[in-house]
Amino acid sequence: MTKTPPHARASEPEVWRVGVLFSRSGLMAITESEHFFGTALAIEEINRAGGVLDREIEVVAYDPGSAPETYRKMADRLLTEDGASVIFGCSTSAERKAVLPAIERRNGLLWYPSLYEGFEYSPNVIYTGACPNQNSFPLAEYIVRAYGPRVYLIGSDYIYPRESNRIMRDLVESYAGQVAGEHYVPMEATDAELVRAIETIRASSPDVVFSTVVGRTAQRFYRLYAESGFDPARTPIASLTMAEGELREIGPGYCAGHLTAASYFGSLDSDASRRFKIAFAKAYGPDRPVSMWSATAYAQVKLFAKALSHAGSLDTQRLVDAAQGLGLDAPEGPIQIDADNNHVSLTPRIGRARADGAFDIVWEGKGPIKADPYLSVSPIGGRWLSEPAAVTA
Amino acid sequence: MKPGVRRLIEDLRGSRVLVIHPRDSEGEALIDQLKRIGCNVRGVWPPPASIPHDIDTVFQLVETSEETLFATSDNDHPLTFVAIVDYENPTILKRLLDSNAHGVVNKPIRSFGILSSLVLARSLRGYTRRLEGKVQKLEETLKARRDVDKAVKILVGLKSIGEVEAYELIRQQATQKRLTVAEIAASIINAQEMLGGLGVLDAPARPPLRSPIEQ
Repeated sequence: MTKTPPHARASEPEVWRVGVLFSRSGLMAITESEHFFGTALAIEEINRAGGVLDREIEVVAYDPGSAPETYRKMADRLLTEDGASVIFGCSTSAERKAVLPAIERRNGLLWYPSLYEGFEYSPNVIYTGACPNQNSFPLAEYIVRAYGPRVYLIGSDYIYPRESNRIMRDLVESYAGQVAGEHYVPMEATDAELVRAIETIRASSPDVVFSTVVGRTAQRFYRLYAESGFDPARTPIASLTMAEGELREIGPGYCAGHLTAASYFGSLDSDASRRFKIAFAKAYGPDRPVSMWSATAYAQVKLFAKALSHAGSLDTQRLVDAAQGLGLDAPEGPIQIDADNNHVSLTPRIGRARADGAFDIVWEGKGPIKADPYLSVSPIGGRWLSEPAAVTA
Repeated sequence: MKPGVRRLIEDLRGSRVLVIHPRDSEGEALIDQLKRIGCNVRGVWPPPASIPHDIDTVFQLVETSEETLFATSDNDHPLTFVAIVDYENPTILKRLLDSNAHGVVNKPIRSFGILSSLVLARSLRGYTRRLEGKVQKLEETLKARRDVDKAVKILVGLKSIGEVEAYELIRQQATQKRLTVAEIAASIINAQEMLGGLGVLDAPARPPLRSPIEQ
């Protein structure tokens, strides 16, 4: 290596080029478009304020159409042809897993804004979404106590639902609940398959349904659930992914009473949340709701900009070193990247859907809790609801 | 199956792991990942003469030198052993086999794969131990069977009775003396050998019958 002065810029471009990989089409179009909007808003704000170290962030964005194989190809293209080593992208675990070999082989850095099922660590990924100990754990106690012991598990047939349901089963049983049934539908299940699933649910008469059905299949599932006569206020569907944008697609009238565990809801009333909502409405119009998807994607770009301003380089190792331990006053409240596992500490919350498409926050943690991706320190069956903001159901 | 997986994972929380690997970035990467998984872990280099008694799992670099000993496991101190290899040439492969490893991780060390290797190795170790226990029990049973056969034949020769009757006598003795049939059989064999050696007994009345299980 030739010796260059530490701030030699001659050979470096005048912009920070980054890649963005969220699906604007296909199964995950709704949630990943929200990831995209949050990402774009944060980058715009940063550039308007003069960029990072006086250089703007330049975006190369592709739409992988919700197909994991396309994610892999596009990640490769970003890393090689486009020269973007930092990628904001992926929502489902299948997409993330598809991108991982490319990102590790070429030593890039993936900022992954979605909740997922845990049991992963890559030195080339910053995980800014929730792990099971930050959403499933309090949700399990809440549904068993507020609605009853019989919990039905339904999911799309891939890794996130299978592992989330395995954890949920342990949790439910630890609160003296029981699994009334467990069923998987194809990623793109037909209406007939969903109706059959709903009839199976009816036959086992659960108190609450825990759903890890994702994407537009989840949207059709929620609508069919209401149409087949279930009352979400009495027998709600609890989820980790159903957010404001999807409720709007389904029709919020079908959804009042359903539950979601997330670290952010648009109804969160704090200065940081209000600022985010105002900026979002200004950029995309007043009708597009904010959600955990846009808020986390937005926050992680802000974390990246902070790390970049410390590192002064897009070099993966230097960026990761700078990112570890970084905190941010995000729309959801204070968050911080844990240096031990590249995951983010955040505040767990449970929201109950209203007929107007927003969520009432029915429970929230006292403050941020550390991510425990390998569930190494989180006891199954711990107490969450004794905290003051508890149960109003 | 599900409780099994949960037990395996929970089992890792209490496990105490020793990483025998030079203190470099790869050794640290392995230790860090084991900590993330939830293990109680510490590192040591060079390989220690003996493994501290609180350790139940060892990750050890397989070196080419045949002088370096691998951590060994015995009944008092069962160990799960995961080998770390950096080459795959026959020299290293032979050392890998010598190590009696239950699992292997490859260099360069990545975070992915450590948990799978660990879970598989611990599960295999447990399975092997159960099999070893079973084999030991079967060997004891087999030996007891041979002894009983032999004792029956001794009695048949000495008392000129049938085998069924002879067995019944041994069983009665066992009940009276609160010993196992095998123990009584062993005493009869011992006694016969001892007395025979002293010339107290004549040569057996009949040459012993060959039993199919006798060598």
